[in-house]
Amino acid sequence: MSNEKTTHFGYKNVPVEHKQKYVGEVFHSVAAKYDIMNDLMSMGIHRLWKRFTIEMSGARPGHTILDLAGGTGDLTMKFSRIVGDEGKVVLSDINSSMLNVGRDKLLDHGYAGNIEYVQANAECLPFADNTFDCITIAFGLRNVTDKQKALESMTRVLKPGGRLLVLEFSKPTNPTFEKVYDRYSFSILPMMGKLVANDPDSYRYLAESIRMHPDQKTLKHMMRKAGLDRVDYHNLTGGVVALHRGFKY
Amino acid sequence: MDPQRQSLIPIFLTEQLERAANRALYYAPVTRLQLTKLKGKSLGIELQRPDFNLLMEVGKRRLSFQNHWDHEPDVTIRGPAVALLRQIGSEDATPADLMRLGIELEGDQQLAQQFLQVIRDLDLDLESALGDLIGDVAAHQVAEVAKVGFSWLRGAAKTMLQQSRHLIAEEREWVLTPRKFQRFQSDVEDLREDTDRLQARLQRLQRLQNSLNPPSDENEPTP
Repeated sequence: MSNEKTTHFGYKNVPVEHKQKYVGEVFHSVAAKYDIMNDLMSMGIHRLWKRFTIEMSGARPGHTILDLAGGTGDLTMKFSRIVGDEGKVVLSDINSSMLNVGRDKLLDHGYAGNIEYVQANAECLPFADNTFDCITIAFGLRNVTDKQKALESMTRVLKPGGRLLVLEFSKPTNPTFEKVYDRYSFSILPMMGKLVANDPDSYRYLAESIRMHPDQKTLKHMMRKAGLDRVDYHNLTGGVVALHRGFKY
Repeated sequence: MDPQRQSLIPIFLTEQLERAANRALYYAPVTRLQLTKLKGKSLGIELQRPDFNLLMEVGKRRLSFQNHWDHEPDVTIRGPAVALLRQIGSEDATPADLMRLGIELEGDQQLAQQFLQVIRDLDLDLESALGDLIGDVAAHQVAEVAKVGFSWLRGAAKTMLQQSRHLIAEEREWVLTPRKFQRFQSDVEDLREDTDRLQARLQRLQRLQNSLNPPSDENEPTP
């Protein structure tokens, strides 16, 4: 029997040190079509989930914000507007392709001056303690190999009084709706992936990784364990997505 | 019912409102200029019936709207939706009207008046908006036709209003108001009572005269 430590990559078990590489390959593959696929898969609702995240962030002019696993920069764009010239937004992603797509998109839309781009692993963030007023990680935590370690790393770089927001796929609260959602995830999503991005495997991974991600209560517990207080969550679209929020004191 | 459930409907409505407001602002340069004086200021709107909360913040070049916020806005307006809309639409609304309509203000009241005034003064350059859709030349021609049409309509409406007012003023003289009618009715009653009294008095006098000078056959005139 092998003593090698494993973790899940979708429904597969893979050696811990390989997961990052596999996830990296998925996102290198989907980066170019990421935004259009998001719109298609969620029927545009992801924009409302992200808008709600922005509203719950309490971001104000002058704040320093970390948009972790920020991908193509949807949240960064809105934060950049809010924090203004005296604030700063750091768009960070472990994947260089996603970060490049995000940077190009933001520059094309005229967002510059208060945005920095950092390629970083959420498990070991390259920032000083107590740096950020707010950290968001939207649809990124489930791809992290060691989620607990990542949450602790985020807590470390949050300023006292700052807040962490985790927007992530979660568990639907209605069993009937869950069945419909399962059907959609495992039949329609890979088909869309094949038709639009010519990459059904990456979108099958997406559906599998969602099922393997901790449910609302487990993630809340993990955030508390990481040292965050007043942790709460909001179920969006019947629990398909949940926004968890915790404060550092 | 899931207590953690968060509806996306208000978020959707707020997003659409923000989009529409900024689109309108794009075609309203004067309003945009007025808003620069309010940059960084925020207005909280707490509508009742239907319940809907909204925070409007004036940014560098645009307005932003939110459903959820945890900082204190510079000013908050609270009240029934219908009353607030009426207040915004009314040119000559006074601060006393706010109280009467059940609208409460919290925070910088002068700022609230400034916000309301900016909204009331909103003047959209519709020709420019139309130009973006169908081209400047066509938009100008449509706008000219519309201007003539509106001018005629405005003139016709004004004339009709004046004539109606004149007619009503004249007709009013012929039409009894309820108060006038009541007064007339009361006068008639008084007159009837006075007449009855007079009649009674005359009858009494007649009886008295008859008792003093009873009629006799001698006095009867000879045929």
